[in-house]
Amino acid sequence: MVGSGTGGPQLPNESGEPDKPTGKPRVKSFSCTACGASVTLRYPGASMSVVCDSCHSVIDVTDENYTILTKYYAKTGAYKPIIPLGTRGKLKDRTWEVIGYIVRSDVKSSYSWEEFLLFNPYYGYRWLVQDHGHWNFVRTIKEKPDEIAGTSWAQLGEKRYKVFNRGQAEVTYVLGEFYWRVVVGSRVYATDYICPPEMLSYEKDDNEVVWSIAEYVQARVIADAFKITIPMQYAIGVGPNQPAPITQSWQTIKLWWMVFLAVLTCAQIALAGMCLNATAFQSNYPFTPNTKATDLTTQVFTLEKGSANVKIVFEAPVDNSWFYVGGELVNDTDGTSYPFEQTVEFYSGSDSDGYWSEGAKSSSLLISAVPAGKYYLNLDTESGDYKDLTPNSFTLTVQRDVTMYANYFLCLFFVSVMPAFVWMMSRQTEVSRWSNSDFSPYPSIPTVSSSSS
Amino acid sequence: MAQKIYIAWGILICALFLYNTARGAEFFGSTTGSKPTGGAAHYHK
Repeated sequence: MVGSGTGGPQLPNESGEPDKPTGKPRVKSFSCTACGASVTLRYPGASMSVVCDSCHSVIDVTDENYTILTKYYAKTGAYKPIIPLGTRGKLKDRTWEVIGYIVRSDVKSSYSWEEFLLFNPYYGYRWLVQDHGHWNFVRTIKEKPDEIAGTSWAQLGEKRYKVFNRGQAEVTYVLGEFYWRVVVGSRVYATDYICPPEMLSYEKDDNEVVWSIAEYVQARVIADAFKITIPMQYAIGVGPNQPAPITQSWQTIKLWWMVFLAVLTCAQIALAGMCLNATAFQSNYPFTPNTKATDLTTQVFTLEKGSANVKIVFEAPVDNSWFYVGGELVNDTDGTSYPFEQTVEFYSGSDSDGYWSEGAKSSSLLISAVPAGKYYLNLDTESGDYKDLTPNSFTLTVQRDVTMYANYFLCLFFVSVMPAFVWMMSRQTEVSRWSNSDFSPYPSIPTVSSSSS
Repeated sequence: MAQKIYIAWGILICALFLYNTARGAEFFGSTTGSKPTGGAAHYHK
């Protein structure tokens, strides 16, 4: 977009308002100096060059002799603009006429894109840039953004833009009229910075430096604005500054996720601090190994606090043997019971890999939300695999209101599933966006051929 | 839309966490006792 209009017509300022109206357009015709065909100039006085529709010679219209700037004999079939020159359309609440068409390409690759020059006599020039199905509405700006030294960022106002591409662009094809002397083969150094849905572009040639700002526009908006009836090119990949709803969702969800983590963590710490962690009852009971025993009933004990959990811990002298308890916690007042089963088992030995063990000599269970009151336990026990059949004993401990962690970790999981999914989707989108950039913040996965070379 | 659904979901989870943990109930733990059916009380003489 080099050719800001320096020396040409007055361009609008950054706000898009005209500095001064350029008046009602008057069409002017003359004969092409190269081929003699009739050339129409839609905006004499505003345009500095026009391309002959017949022979594609670029003519300097500021010269009375209509000097040929460049001769370009390629036929128009090489490129056909999807928006015909002269088409008018309403975009951003203003009517624009397409007066010029340029194809530019990256000097070091075959990558090319199209640029449509729009004109409104009261608001000046704008550009529509079509890059592999992605459209941008572009305006030049007079304000020079700050390129942050030592970084790959540029700042314009409050917004920061990250460098996306840097290279040399060459004009490979032109049609229509322009506000500067466009020449096929002319080159500019260009750098694009992005902050979706905007893109900041820097272009520099031998004469001038131009900054412009682009805003992503959906292809259907362009089609509606200019009444394009033929199918628009399918958008390939993710455009450099294409807004990604999933990325915006991630930004919001990330904040709320952190809020929920903070709430859950603070609540867990506070609730843990209020736990009694008290021993309500503890006693030893005899049992005979490898036999069943029933009808064991404990003394009545008191459970404090309105509603809290109860942890029952069994410790048994198991060694390559098991000890089973089936029982219930019974409310001594109303008979409400909380049944449970628990096994204590411990096995160990040695094999070719050395010592191994599984299980433990104690195990516990948690009963949820038990109201305060007087309780006792009914227990049936059974054991097996004991080699020493000497009568033994197990220890029973009842703890009241112990600190729980299961709820905390479960809730962390529940509030993290959706953020994790959105993050993965967002990352996938951003990786796709940056796949066409030399400045991708996402490390590329080496391919087999590249890793072997 | 996704943000609103997530916010509502998160608030629900936090509320359930506070409600359950404050009364000593695990999400998937046994939370209710059952009335004796005639077998439990006779153990205690």
